[in-house]
Amino acid sequence: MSCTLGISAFYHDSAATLVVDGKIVAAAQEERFSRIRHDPGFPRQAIEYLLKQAGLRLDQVDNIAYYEDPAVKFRRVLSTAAVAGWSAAATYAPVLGDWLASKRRMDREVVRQLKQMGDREGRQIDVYAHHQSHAASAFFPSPFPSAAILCIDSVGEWATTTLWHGTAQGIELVAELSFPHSLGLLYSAFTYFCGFKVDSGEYKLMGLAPYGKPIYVEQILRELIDVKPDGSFRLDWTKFEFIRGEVMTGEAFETLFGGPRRLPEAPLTEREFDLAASVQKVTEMVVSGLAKTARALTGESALCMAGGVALNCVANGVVSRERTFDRLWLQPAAGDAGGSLGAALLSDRKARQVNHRELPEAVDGMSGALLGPEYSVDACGAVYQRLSQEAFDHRLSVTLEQGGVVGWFQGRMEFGPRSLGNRSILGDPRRSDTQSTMNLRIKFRESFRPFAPVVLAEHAAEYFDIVEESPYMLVVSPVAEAIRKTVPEHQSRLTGIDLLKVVRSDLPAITHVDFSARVQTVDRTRNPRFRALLERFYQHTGCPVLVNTSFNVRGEPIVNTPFEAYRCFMRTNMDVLAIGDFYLEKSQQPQFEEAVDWRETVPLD
Amino acid sequence: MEYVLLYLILPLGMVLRRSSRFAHRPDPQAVSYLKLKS
Repeated sequence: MSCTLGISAFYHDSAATLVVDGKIVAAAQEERFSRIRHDPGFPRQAIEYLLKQAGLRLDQVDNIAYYEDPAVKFRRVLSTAAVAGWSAAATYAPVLGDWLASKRRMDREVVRQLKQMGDREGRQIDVYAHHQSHAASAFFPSPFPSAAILCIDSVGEWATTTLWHGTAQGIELVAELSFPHSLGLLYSAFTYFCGFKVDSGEYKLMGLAPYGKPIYVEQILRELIDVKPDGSFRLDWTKFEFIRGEVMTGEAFETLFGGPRRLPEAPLTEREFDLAASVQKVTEMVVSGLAKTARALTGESALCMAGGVALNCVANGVVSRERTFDRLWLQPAAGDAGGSLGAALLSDRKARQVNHRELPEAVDGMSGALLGPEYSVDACGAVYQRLSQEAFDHRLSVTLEQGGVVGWFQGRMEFGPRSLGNRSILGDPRRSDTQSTMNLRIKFRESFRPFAPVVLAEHAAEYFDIVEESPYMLVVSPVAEAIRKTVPEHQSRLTGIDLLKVVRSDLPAITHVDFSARVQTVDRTRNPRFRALLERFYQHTGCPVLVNTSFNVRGEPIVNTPFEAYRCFMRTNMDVLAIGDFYLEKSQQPQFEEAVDWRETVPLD
Repeated sequence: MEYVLLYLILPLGMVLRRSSRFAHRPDPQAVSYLKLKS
């Protein structure tokens, strides 16, 4: 038996993955344990979970892999500091101190941290390039014997965009773009300029885009990014501030886009809607072009994707519908957390001297992304009933149909940023009030943000123009014409947030203002328990769709333990909590008191 | 110490700024910016 531990850490979304003989047995992000969103620290608690899950001590782990090359990354930081010049000295001087002291050899820091956890003396770890880790995470768990691989993110060492060819022998780099020319950094710059947090709020910008018109596309293409027909691009980095450190944009953006950036939490205006729509359009153009180039350069008919930009479900939807490739597979932990998985798989293959394709035994190698911890249920002082699964699901279906909102906590936690049916909040998509109820009374988040549908896979095409499965909620598709409603004349001129007032389909809670939806298809293999609930709701109502959003409130990582689920349930206006076979109604619970108002302790995202 | 290092590497910045890696103007002659590896 060969056990390999993969680690990603020290930037954002630290995580760890355990691979045994080529099989991914467990993976988790540190934020779920530390309760610090996007936690960049060493993933000690995630590693402790992996070891417990596998019944191993750390010194019994055969191989350890780190997801990026800190020495090469240091050279990039040094080069960037040199290019930035004296004007950025105050920014870079303290950072360089950190880099000189430890960051340039973060692999040694990993060894030191592992030693503190009881690892053996003289541990050697394998170090892989950032994009190599992404590419491995995209290809090896995919169901394809061979495939093109496209990785796009902000930056790792130097690479920002890479095309790979995955074959029986492994993965081979075909082409790349390097820092400072980065699609991820372009998107993050607009995220910052529109008042959202970098490396966190990009998905909000994506959700904002349908409210606007892409009127800045020409300007962006003329002033900020030169895109060639093959999707490759060059950024005019002199118009951005990220070279100089601390912030993403400055005077050049203000001149281009008519004034200073929106401050966080300030009211959104037409400008932010239009900027979001415009940068989204440019992103889709680039990703689509790169996908076509990947097809041309590799000759493959299947595409795998990873990297932070692969979480842009709208761009993924464009690639999927264009049919450049016959099949598309997206790594559910496409961001840096997934780097731990890719590095572990590379190290595992090296240790076992595998030079052929080991196809996953199931539909893919991710086990439905249900790779996190599972807990036995503790009553937590709650008032509950234990029911048979049939009675349980029936009562939940009735609650949902009557407009209730359900907290759903089952089995192993998801790996990656999406709740896929084990740590979810569920609602009825047919009700027009579900979106505002869930945004404002449950999640306490911005009203403009859309909710995603989960649908029984065999019914997906009845409700969405979807051309292939989307088990990891990473593809946005248009809502099918058959369920759309005509927008009344008096509402057709609405703009901005007022667009939310329009009922656009038979499933208004999940139909975004541009008639799109971020679909999760639920098949028979990946999550049978979640599917059983959805089937019961379908039997009860004739609707095979539910609203599925992550089990957390704004600014908080997704809940991990039953207590965190109960606490979130009691802090919000959810009606029912379903933990394992424990059925909890809010109205029957004892008073839940906390010494401090939780809103003061959870920072806004 | 850090400022000394910065002082030492700043001349490198002048060179890097002129390198193709840090080019920032569109190149109308180029059909692609991709660096092919194989």
